[in-house]
Amino acid sequence: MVGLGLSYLLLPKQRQRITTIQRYVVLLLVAILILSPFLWLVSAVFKDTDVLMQYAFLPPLSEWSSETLNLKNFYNPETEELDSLFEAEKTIEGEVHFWRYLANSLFLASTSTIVTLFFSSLGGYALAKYEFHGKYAIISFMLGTMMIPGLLLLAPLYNLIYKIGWMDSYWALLVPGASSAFGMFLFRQACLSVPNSLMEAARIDGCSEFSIYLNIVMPLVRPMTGAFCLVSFLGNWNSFVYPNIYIQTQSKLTLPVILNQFVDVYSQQYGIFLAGTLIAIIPPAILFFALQREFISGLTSGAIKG
Amino acid sequence: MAKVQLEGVGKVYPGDVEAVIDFNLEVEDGEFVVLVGPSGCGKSTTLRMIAGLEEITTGTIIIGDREVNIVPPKDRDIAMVFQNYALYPHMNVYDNMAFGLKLRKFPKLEIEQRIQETAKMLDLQDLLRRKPRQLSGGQRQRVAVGRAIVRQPAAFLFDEPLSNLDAKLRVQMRFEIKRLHGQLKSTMLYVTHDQIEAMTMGDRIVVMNDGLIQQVSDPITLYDRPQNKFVAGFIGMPPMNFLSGQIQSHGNELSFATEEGRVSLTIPTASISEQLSRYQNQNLTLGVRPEDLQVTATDSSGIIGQIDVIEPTGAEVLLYVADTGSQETIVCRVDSHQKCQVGDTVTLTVPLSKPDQVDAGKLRMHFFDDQTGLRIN
Repeated sequence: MVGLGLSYLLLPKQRQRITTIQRYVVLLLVAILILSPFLWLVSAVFKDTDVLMQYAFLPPLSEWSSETLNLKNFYNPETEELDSLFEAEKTIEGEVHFWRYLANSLFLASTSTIVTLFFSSLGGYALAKYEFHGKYAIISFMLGTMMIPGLLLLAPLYNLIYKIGWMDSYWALLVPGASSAFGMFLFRQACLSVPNSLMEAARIDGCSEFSIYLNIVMPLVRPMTGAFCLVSFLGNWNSFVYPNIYIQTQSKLTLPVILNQFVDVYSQQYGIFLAGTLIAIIPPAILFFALQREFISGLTSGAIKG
Repeated sequence: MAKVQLEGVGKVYPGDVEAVIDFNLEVEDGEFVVLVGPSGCGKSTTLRMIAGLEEITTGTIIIGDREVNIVPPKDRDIAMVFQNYALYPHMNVYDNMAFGLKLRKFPKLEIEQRIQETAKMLDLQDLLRRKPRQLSGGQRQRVAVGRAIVRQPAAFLFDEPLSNLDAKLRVQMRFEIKRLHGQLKSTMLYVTHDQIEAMTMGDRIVVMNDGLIQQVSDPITLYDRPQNKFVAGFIGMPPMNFLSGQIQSHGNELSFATEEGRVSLTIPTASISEQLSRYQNQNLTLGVRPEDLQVTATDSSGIIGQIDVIEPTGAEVLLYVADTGSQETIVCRVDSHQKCQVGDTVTLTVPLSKPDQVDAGKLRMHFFDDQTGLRIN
């Protein structure tokens, strides 16, 4: 690095270049810091149990062999015991495969995201674009509910779900989160930027009110939709407390709950536990890369006058 | 195409804000009617009530033979062109134009045919696959007009469609809309605050102020015989000059004199109407259009003042003359060859160009009642 005392000797272009290099070095260090746990996880998954603790990351190239690096954590045909991730788990209900938990999580996270997206966007649209009595009181109340920590509602919600008879049912996970105050507020802000004249033009063109929402407003708030889908999917994918409380049947459990159980089951076999964790990361990662453009523009939308 | 009738239409917003009061108008089939007035006069509200975008508080709106007071916008068989184009940003030009037809379940072939015909008419053939953001302001407005045309509605409503365009494009689009009206021969209602647009485009013009119709007539009548002081001041650029004073009798002759007595204009005897004679020695307002004033060096009968500002506009020159008595500015439009300089003292008179123009209709002086603002002569 060039000290302040010498910087005056450099041409402006050289100074600019050095600043750029300095920035890249800092960013690289931060990236390594963030990525290293992930790299540790990936390398641990493919290491044999015997060498798992021997190396921080992967073993040196000279020691690479099927003895040190293999897929035994996922599937191990040599053993008959519960010794790999994809081996069926024997429960009182019968055999349950790891794929089942993955499918449960995928179903719950995507259904919940779609339902929440529908109700939040519809609510946000109404709050942004229609005039009705008590509108601002509703918005204030809605924002107020966001101040209450979710876990405070655990006991009353449990009581309610129990009384309705939704224990051990996915309704208990889907219905309470179907309308999100946060989502409605986000969509309200996004819908405010849609000019009223577009809706009026659509009304004259022959659109019904729902058709305006679907054909005109939703395509225009697509960045917010992308960002919301991602945030909502991640929230539902990682949801642990509610599935852990409401769901009792083993075959209905979701990934976070089962990974938590793995901590006990595979207390001596970190590799299998970590393999489950790696698989659990993949769907949200794919979604993030698919929606990252929308995610970034959604988060920054409204930041400047456009 | 259809007749549009508004009978006693009124609009009151919450808080008892009266936006439109007792609006009566009959737009003939194929007529081009312009609603003009200052901001907040109720012209856009009136148009939006016809479109069904605003509910009416009182009165009746009839499109064709049907009362449409509670008919939703989509069933009124009208098309509207908005000030900010209101094109759907996520659809290309073709889809923007086809959207209304698709919703009305038109056959694909007919949609295609109508769009191609309209695109040809508006020179949009090469732009059909483009998104609105890839178009210039003028092109966007043409697409907005095209979207209205393909629907072949009973009536077209234009809400200040040219306000977002630059001056040159505005003149061009003005011409194109006017030509289009000639081709389509459809009923058009056009809202603008620009009186030049109103004068050049409308078969009839409705001048509005404070929610009330001030005058409905053809452009020339509106200019030559404004029914009240507001219309006289609103129509015409630069606006009409107003002077407060009295009619005085000098034997057989009448003259107009301001209170200070510094301005004295002889009124041609032949043009004195009975109504005007009744106003002798009463306060009233005289209005004179800038082009009706003649600049002379000195004259005993006229407005004496000093030239403050000279604005050459090309074919003519605008002189801003400060009346030496009241210090009010009087605008005068003269030939560009007239020699004058800032600071010159001049006398302004109202001449009669030809003897045959000396009649009540052609008198270049407009007198208004001070109390009511209504035209006297």
